[in-house]
Order: sequence, then structure tokens, then C-alpha cells
Amino acid sequence: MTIKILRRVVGALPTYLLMLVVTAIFLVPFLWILSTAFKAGMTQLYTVPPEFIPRPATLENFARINSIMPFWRYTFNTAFVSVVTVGLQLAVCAPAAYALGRIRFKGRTLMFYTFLATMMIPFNAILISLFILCKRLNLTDNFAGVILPWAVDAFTIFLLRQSFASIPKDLEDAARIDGCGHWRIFWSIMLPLVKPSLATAAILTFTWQWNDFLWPLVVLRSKNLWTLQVGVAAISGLRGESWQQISATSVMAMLPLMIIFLVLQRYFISGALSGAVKG
Amino acid sequence: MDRLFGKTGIFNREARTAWLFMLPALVGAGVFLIYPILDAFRLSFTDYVGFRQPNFVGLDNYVSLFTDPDFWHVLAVTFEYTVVVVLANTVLAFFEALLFNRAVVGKQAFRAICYIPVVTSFVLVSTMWKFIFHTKGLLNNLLAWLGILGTGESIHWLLDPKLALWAVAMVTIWRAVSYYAIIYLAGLQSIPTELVDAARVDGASSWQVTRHITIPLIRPYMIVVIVVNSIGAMKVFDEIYIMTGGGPLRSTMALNFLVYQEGFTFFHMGLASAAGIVLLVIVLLISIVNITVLERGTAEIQL
Repeated sequence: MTIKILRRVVGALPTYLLMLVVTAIFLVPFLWILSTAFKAGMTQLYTVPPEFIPRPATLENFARINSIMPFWRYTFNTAFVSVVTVGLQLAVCAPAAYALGRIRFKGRTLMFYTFLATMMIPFNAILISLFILCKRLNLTDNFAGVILPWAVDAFTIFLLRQSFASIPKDLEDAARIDGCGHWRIFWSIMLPLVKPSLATAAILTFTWQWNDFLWPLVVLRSKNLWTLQVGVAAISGLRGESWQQISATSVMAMLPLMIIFLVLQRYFISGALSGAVKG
Repeated sequence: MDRLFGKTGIFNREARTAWLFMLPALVGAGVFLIYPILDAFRLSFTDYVGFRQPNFVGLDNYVSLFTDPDFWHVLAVTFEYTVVVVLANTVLAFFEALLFNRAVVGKQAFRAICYIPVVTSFVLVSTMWKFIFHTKGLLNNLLAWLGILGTGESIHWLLDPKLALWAVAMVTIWRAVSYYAIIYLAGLQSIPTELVDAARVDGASSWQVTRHITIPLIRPYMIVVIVVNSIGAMKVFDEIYIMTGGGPLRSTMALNFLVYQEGFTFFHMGLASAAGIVLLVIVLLISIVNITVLERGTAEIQL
């Protein structure tokens, strides 16, 4: 018995070794920035060999986190924008997905391909014209301008459409016999049944909007409206800003999404897969 | 009237409900996606600079782009970067997926750790690496400690025009490879074990199994990886903005960054729109080429 277990462990050693190396490759940069965040003074930043353990360790950089940029304000901005985007997108895309997936009507295929076509549009091509449009609609320099363009996302529509379409017709028929119209069916029966897809779409959109940089950079002029990404980008370009401070700010900026990821892993992973298998 | 609104008409009860359901999405898509793309076309034929009335200039913007050697340089930079990133991701992600697939204790935790860079924003990842790439930063210090760099020697990752683009590519690859590995993993897990077992019974080695079964069956997933990665790589922006700003000596000036710079730093909005349209066309071409070329010869499994 012991020989068997030993054999298994020894057989797994090369795998574990590889896994260790790969883990190190992904973790070391994070560990380095974490360690830098706790350092005071310049002596430990550029040594050979690199020193990962700060001596002395200080919380000073974290205490001053609000001094180089309005950190909590930016966190609120980012969270607000992300949550509202998710809510709006689901509210707009779910009914559309339901219609495309469960209602037979003339022009359905055409609409399907129309939404598909919008997926082909790379954002950079419309960056300028979208900005000009938002300026005309008074959507620059406010949160609405950051949120509204993402109200419709073809990927979300297709993800949800697939889920809606896979619900067996009997459920719908039974509801119809009870006299329900499409809206009741959608709201009371279909939506609860596609919760996993809604969650996946919500996570993907939330992450996307939280991490977005180019559009908030372009749309938001007032510094107090900036998102975390724009703020971190601004301070990382500042002359004379200490790397310790930048690191502490970056670490704090990374935390929310990292925690969300570790808790809700499977939605992230399933989101990645549905992106691939959509075909 | 009945033709339209009757039971089988285009606007029958079912259809009306459907259109109502789709209305917000249609309005949103029309305003924020379809109108801008049409307007981008229009703008690309003007000399709009953000404040005065634009004049129609026909193909002038496109002509000035394609006769400018710097634009060809930008295209070359973008292509080089895309090719390197896609190649590296396609290959590395495959091996990472093989590792993900190993049935060992702690594989969930392993996958989660590897995936963390994927959920971290480009801005934060780039900021992190900007410090690591510092001339006196972690990477050089590690290399010096390992004896690869002599004392006083250092590699100017982000300051050497010959190296900067590869440094940026390295960061992109580091961040995204696990995403593609998950896609490959889905493919690996879809391979019927009977096939592998049958091959082993016939005496196939691990290498032969990989070469003759795994790789052909992974092909559809590989296509997805290549297409998605190519499109994403062509749109690189954040890393360049944070780490190099297009330099040094324009060696990291990629097309998307050019669009931003021309449009928002120099306000050549007509020109920037034209560059954006060029990017759109290239992305479409890449998708079409990739899909048609790679789809040929995908293994058909008849089980």
C-alpha cells in the first residue's frame, strides 16, 4: 500500500515541479509589488539580489493612499459605474435575448445577424466618432457617458439567448395554458431559470467595466470623476512619485477584483469558456 | 392592414412583443454602435480638427496615411507585435492547459493563481511590470543575481528601441496566456477518453497520443484562440500608454495608439478616424483569413 502511494507521489513530482515554476512566474510580480508597497526609503528597491522582505516594513504608504490621488473617491466611482453598467446591460439585453431566442417572428434571423455584426466593430474604429457623438449628447465628463455606450453588448445578448433557447418548451406551454403572456413568462419563469448565465454575464461585464481604461480616459475630464484605472495611470506617470507609493496604491486597486475573482471563480472561468465555444 | 397585423402578418402579436422586447437594445445599438461606425466612415473623408466645420477632403486622409513611411512603420510594429503575441500565446497556452489538466491535488488552486493576471486590469499589470522592467528593477537584479548579467550591466527593457516592443509583448503574454489555456482546457476535456485508452492499448506513447489524437482534436479550439488573440492583440493600447507612450523612438507605436494620439493629442480627428477604419478593415481581414485558412482540415470525429 505504501509503495503505491509513494509511487503516485513520486510520479507527480515532475508535475508539481512544473506547477511550482509556473506559479512562481505568475506570482512573483505580484509579490514584488506587494513587498515594495511596504517599503520605506530607497535602499531596498534596487538591490542585487532583490530583497522581497521589507526591513523595516511600514504601513506609511497605505496610510497616505489618499494623498496622491483621491483613492476612495475613485474606488466609489469605479464601483458605481461598474454596477450600474451591469444593471443597465442586463435590463436591456435580457429581453432582447429572450425575443431572439424564444419568439418566432419575421426578421428574427436578420436581427440576429445585425447584432452579430455589431460584435465585429472594434472599439478603436468608433473611438473618435463615439466621443464626438457623446459630446453632442452632453454625455462627456459624466458617468452617463461612461455607462451608456455599453448598455448593449452583443456578446451578452448571445450568451443569454443561448440560455433562453435551451429551456424546454413545455414550461412555456404550461404557462400559456394558464394565460400568461410573453412578459409574464419572461419575468416569472425564464429569468429565474437562466440565473447562472445572468451571473456569468454580470461578472464579465462588471470586470470589463472595472478594468476599462481608454474610454474613461477619453470621456472623463474632471479629476474627481475619474475611475481607478485612470487614476493609477496618472500617478504612475508622475515624475518624482515614489514607486513605494505607486505600489501601495496599485495593490489596493487590485484587491477588490482579486477578491471577487477568488470568491466567484467559476463564473469567470465559465465566462471565458462561453466566449470560446460561441463559435 | 390584416396583411400586416393579422395572425400571420409581419407585425402580428408575437412580432410586436418581440420588437418591443428588443427596442431598448436596438436603440442602444443604433445610437452607440451603428451610428458611430457610419460616422467614422464619414469623418475619415473630412479634415475635422475638433472645433471648426469639417471640410470634405475625399481620400486625402487615406492617401496621406499610406504615403507616410511612419504609418507603414506603425503597421509593421502592430503586425510584429500581433504575430509574436499570438504565436507565443497559442503555443504556451497549450502546454499550460496540459498542466492544468493534470489530476493532482491542488489543481484548482493552481488554475486560480494562474488566472489572476487575466482579471487584473491592463493598467495595473503594466504599472507592475513598468517597475520590474526598470533599469535597476527586479528583472535585471534577478538576472544579475543569477550571474546572467555581469556587474554594472543592465538591460534597458523599456528604453532600448530594439527591445521595448518585446517587453510590451511579454507583459501581454504574461497577462493573457492563462485565459487561452482555459479555452484549450475545455478542448482537452472534451477528448473522449476511449480514444486515448484505445491508443494506449495499441501501445502508443504519451508523445504519440499527444501528436496524433490531442492536437488534431484541439484544432477548433486552437482556431478560436488564434482568432480571438489576433483581434485582441491588434487593439493593444493600455500597455503602451503606461509603459512606453509609443516610444522609444516610436518603436512601440501601434495602430490603436496612433488613433488615440492623432485624435486626442493632436486633434486630427479626420485622420484618426481614417486610421481607425484601416484598423477595422485589417481586423476583419484577419478574422476572415484565419477562419478560412485554419478551418480547412479540421478533424471530423465520427463516433
